[in-house]
Amino acid sequence: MSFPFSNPRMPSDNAEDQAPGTRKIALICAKGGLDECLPVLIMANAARMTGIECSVFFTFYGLDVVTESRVDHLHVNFLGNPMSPMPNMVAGLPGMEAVGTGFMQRKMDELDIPRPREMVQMLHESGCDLYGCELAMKMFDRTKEDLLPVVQDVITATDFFERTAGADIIFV
Amino acid sequence: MDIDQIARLEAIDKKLDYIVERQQYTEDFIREMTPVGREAITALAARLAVWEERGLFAIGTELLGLVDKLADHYGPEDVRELSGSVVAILDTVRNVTQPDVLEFANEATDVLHDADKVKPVGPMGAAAAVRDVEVQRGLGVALEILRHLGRSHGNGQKPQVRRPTTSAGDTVSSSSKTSPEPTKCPPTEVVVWEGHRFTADGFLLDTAVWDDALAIKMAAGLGIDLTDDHWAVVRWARQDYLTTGASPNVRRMASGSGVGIRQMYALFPKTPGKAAAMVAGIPKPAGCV
Repeated sequence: MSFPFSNPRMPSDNAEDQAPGTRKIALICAKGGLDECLPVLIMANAARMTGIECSVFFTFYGLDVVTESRVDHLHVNFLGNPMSPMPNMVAGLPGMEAVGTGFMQRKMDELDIPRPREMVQMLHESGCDLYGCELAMKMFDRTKEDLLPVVQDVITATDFFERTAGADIIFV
Repeated sequence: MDIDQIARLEAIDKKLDYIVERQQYTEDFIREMTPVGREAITALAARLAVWEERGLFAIGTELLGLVDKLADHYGPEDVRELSGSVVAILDTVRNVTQPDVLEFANEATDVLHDADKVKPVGPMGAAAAVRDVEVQRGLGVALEILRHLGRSHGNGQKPQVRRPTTSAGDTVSSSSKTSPEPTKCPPTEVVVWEGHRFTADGFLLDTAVWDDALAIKMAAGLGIDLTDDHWAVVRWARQDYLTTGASPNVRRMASGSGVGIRQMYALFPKTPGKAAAMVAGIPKPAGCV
């Protein structure tokens, strides 16, 4: 009798409705805060580890996550965030952004979560397609050379939807 | 006078004889010992004078006073209670005399000695000092102590204190006890295959029964032909699980075994973390990075 466990094993037992390897997701990353882009990167990575095909479209401030000069300087902003642990009065003080960022980075190190640069690299190596948004590039006056080399292509939103046909679209 | 009384008188007579005899011995002894005793007393007096000079008696008197105070403050039932907590006291003493604790106490006294050289710190200074990693660590320790205090006095619950392990053997046995199979998420279903027990999604339950032959069979079931690179990942993941007690994630496996993430996805297609853990006979990796 051969090993009775498939790889990957999907939660649904109905093979037709979820045959392994046919699941696809397309994530759209539109924000560049450390706390705002991390969920995208982690979800994309988790999807790849579960055998789900995954593409990520970086647009607007999300473009910072794949911009060489910005990726190591992503910040956390507590201001105007109703869930932030800091009152807005305090969060607006100078230096509070650095405090919040430092706090989050320490927490990430503690939990062994890699920094965005390494996460993006991991995504690329795990076979996740990374795209930059053409319109956002024009808006921020950036060229393909400003982006990390792991970005596969700079495409428009329509191109992205065409390339990810059949995928579940998730906007973050 | 009857025979009985006569017998008793005789007995008394004998005792009297004995006493007189003893008395004589005693007198002889005293006579002989008097000169010796006189010498001894003189010497003793001299010694006592010396002790007196050195203040030993003052200390003794104070100690007696201390005993009085102790007696005033503690009754017999307190002493009985004390006997019950002797073990705890000894434990505490042992903990306090651990080298690292003693070293800390030493350092603390050093700081106190130089206390007058330390500059006063205002609120801004305190805020700045909090950014210092060492101060943060100190604050953490202080907070932990406070938490223990609160726990032990708040709800009467005994705080869980980790005792220093006495020997290396202890730690090894305890870690080897905790490493096999995590208990927090018990599998709902057990599948038996090739005489071994697996979780419902295919992870070996008893990691100790794993061997190369089983790994090859499992890998074949997953459609993987094990190469040297596969073995490097599998062996590293297994070793990491046995040392840390947790299955490594893909990132750890990739960097630890040195094959890299891209290669991980090539070696164990689709679900590298799960497949490698499965073949290595260790539990499903937790976490999502």
